[in-house]
Amino acid sequence: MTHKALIVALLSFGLLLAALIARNGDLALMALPFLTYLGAGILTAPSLEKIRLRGTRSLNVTPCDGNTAIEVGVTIHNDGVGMVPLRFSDLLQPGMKVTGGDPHQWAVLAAGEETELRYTFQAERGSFRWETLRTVASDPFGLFESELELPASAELQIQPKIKRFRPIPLRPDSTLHSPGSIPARLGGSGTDFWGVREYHPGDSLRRLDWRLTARHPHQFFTKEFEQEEIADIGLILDARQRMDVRVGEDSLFEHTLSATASLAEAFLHQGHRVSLLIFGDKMTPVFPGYSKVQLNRILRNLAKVRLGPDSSRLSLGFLPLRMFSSRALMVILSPLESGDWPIFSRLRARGNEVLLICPDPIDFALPSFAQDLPGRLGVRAARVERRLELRKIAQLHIRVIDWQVDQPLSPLVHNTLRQARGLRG
Amino acid sequence: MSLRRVLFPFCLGISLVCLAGGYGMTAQWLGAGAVLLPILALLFSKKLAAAWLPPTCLVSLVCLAAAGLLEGAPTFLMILGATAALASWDLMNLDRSMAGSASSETVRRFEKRHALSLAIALGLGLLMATSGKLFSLQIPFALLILLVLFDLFSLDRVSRYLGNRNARG
Repeated sequence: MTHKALIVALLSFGLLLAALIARNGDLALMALPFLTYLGAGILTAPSLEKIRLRGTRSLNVTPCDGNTAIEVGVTIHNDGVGMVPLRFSDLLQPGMKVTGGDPHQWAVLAAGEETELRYTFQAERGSFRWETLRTVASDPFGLFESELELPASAELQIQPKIKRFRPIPLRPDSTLHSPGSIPARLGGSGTDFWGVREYHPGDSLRRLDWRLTARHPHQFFTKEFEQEEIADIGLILDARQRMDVRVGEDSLFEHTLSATASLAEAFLHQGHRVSLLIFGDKMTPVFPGYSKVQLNRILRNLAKVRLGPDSSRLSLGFLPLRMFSSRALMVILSPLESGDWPIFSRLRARGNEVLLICPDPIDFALPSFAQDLPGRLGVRAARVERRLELRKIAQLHIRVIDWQVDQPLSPLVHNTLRQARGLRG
Repeated sequence: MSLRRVLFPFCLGISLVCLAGGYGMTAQWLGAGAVLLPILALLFSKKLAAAWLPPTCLVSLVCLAAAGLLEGAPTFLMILGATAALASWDLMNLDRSMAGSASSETVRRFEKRHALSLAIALGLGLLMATSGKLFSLQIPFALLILLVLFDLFSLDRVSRYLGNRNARG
């Protein structure tokens, strides 16, 4: 029974009561149209037992204006008997922006007839899943409604956009003993000359150093080359709600997430082992792995990330570091807040090398700040505070990239890692 | 233009003419003027976007019709005025719930069926009221009270039955 039916019932009852009190038959007659209206609603109210509907959902994905446009179509077929007034509404999920059509529709379906609910939405990224179509069957006046969930399932995933990076010149302190592209400062089978040692039985004759062997009769020497191995990389994405800054439709978090996806792609493309931890109100780990399978796993998890409603008590200090090896190169992507720096000393104490990519929230939100004197002073104070914080972290021998998100990240990563290599070399 | 948008002012006009005319015929000009207020409020309630306004207007118009009856205004005009107010309130609700939906064949059919059902239900009610006026029936007061209580009980049972039927389904 809806509010509408309640109002009509109360009015008809009120009129009958007034007729009794006033002893006026005409007032009772006035209640008759209200009662027939209500009666018609009761008589034509649909029964869920008799409604036989069938739904089929189709999705059509097309790229549009840098986003992805998805056309959703649900065909509803009436397999039952009789004419049913129906109201359909499809579930709108977070991240959907309806650009065409309507996810709500009214229809009257006779037996054997079908209708189609069609709308288009755009989304930057996300994981969308539909199980049912909400259907409300009612009498023609909408006095008595019956709700049913019509099965019409479909699933869709829009992965975050990836910007292709040039190969990143890594030179970590520790490497994994699998053939790769990073000189490991160990003799073995590589391409760069590393040194000469005494011949051991089993060494390939091709690698014999004939000149040295000629100078020392009765002794053989073998040339060694520098082994090239892969790196173990752990990516940490800060997905705490309060770390996000929004300026209009633009979100700092979305830039950070896109950078994480691009870095994962670049590292995996170079053959490294990559793991990911999405740190928000829910921790989402992607355990270490290689190749396209791992990239898909990472992108699938990044597509699903939603900033939690409340993560105010979460600090980076709660990071579960055990999932990362102490020899892994940790890449942390976070705008950081003042209490976050102790995690960096913890990481250094474990022996991890760390690269911090810190998207600049002050620069990002600059257009929304007041341009008067107090506003400008506030921005300056915030910048000084941030710079001091980053300097404190850099003093722990951590490479820090202060990233203004409108700048391309790839050259910054290249420069930072190249400088670090130069210092060591 | 959609059917609901054509029928809504038409029903509202009938309600205004009947109620104001009924009051005018008994020279109660204050009553005739008072009818205008809920009619105008109902007419502009879509723009005002207040959910409580249309039911308030309907209740006001029915109260005015009942008061007119008690003051000796023509019965048929008052009943027709109240019925037309109910029809316009129903169409107003339909228009609100369908706001934003694109005009299509399904929507037009939906509207047509709604209007047809409304005309049949209210026409039947008016016919019963008119015939009730023609045939005088003496019912004892106690029986009337019992009938009202029975009406209330029936409504309660019917709504419960519908609820249970849907829960089983």
